[in-house]
Amino acid sequence: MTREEVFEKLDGVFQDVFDDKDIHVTDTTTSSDIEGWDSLVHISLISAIEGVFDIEFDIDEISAMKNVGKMADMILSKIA
Amino acid sequence: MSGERTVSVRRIQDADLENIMNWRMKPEVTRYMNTDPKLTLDGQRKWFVKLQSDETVDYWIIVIDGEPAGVINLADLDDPNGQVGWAYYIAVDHLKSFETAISLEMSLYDYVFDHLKKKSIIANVFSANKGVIALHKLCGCEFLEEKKEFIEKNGIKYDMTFQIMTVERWRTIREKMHYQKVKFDV
Repeated sequence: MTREEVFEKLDGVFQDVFDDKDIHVTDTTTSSDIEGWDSLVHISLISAIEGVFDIEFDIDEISAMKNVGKMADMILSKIA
Repeated sequence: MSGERTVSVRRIQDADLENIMNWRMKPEVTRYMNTDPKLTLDGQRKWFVKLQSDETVDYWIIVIDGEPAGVINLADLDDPNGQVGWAYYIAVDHLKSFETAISLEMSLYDYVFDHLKKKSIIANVFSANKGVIALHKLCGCEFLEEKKEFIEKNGIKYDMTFQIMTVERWRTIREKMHYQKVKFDV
């Protein structure tokens, strides 16, 4: 899967979790950019991503996801 | 997705009661709680007086970056099997973070098992509250059971999920957990 394909899937996950079809995430997207992205929504988001990509994250990995770019890097490293 | 914050947990004081009253009636706080209370400051003062002599529960204020942000509590402290319950909320939106939630939960386990010498701790969470259920799982909690239509609130029945951490499990897994140690006022 390419990085672009990961971002396409991430768009879908974010759109579902935030119920907003206009959301499109980029490398630099952070929780400050999307209304309602608090710590609990973050966990729901992580759970949804784990389901879509069939992977699992540990606490340290989740803590290291400072933006969606880091999230994509982490996903790519797990599905490689 | 936030940096590390300074977190502390201290005993409730009189001056906190108005904050607690307002937090506890916020829709986003009551949404996943067993009751939607209508509180008054006078009622809060009576609750606080009663709390001082109640040895079955314990409550603290969560302070994040120097600002009171929420409440954490233990229940069933008199359980003969050493199984306690707990709950918490952070009511100030800009002080919420994943790292804070993890640190609070794991530090509470340290307090419950190392200081109080309890055997297990149970969280009961509305099954619809997927974020908190996932959070407890990340902290190492195990699924215990789900009770269908366990709580009725405002005429609506809600399923409840029960998750457990035991002293044995916590002592096995905590070494690999990285979290900010939050000290609980004894």
